[in-house]
Amino acid sequence: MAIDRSLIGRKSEVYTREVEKGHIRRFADAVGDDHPIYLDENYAVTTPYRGIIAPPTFATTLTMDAPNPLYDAPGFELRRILHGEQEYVYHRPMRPGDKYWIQSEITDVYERQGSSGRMTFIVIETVARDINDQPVVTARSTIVYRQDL
Amino acid sequence: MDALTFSRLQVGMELEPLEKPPVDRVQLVKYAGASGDFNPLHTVDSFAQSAGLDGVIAHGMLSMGFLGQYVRALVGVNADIKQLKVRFQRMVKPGDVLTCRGKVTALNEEEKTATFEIAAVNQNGETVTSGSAHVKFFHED
Repeated sequence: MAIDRSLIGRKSEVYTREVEKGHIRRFADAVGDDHPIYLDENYAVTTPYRGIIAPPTFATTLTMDAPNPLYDAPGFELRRILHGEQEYVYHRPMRPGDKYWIQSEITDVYERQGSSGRMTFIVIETVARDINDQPVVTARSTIVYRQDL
Repeated sequence: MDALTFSRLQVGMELEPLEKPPVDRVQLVKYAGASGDFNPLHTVDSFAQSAGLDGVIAHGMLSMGFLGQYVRALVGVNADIKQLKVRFQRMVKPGDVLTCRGKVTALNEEEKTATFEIAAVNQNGETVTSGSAHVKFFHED
């Protein structure tokens, strides 16, 4: 299987992830984001959120070291990829103690001729659902695959 | 910065920028560990060179993380972040200084929602990551 339109519809298995307070803290620290809503429970309970939440791009951690319908594709080479675009839709905030059931699917693949050769754009949509099967975050990543590198 | 309230916003309004400290290699290692993105493009020069680059580059998601920080700093806990969307336009290298900038592009009085155009701009004035944020205010004070 080549990295081309034949990948459309390819799905990962469903996997689970749990959100941990310490992980939120390490993530916020790595970004350099010291907003207390991510760190300070005493503060967070006084806000409309009524508790600590995760920073918006913490959602990226949900897809790392996880089943990925592109990375698992035969012939895939990590060194050829660049991150082109990223979108997150938040249906509700991510909170410590949450557990999610997550699945990714390749929803689109298209070709462009770039200055450095043929590039394939791969759109991966990932949905994280909670225990009630309600969506928490929908992520759309566009990965640029450099065919002529 | 003071958290924005819905009533203070106007379409076209420029938002107070946020200048981040220079990106350095320690931050890239920390971000790799915290995000779980261990693509060696961001931490190992020889791998980055095999990918056609001079050396390591920052995770695109780190610049998006800065923009997420920026949006939260702008609205504080007065509004919930409903959507973030960006395009990674230019690579970020260790030493680069990114400034987050924003502008109000749409408001919905009924829903109390706002859309911001957001961008991370480097020390040369080049946009590295840009897109939009959609926020919903909890209530008006």
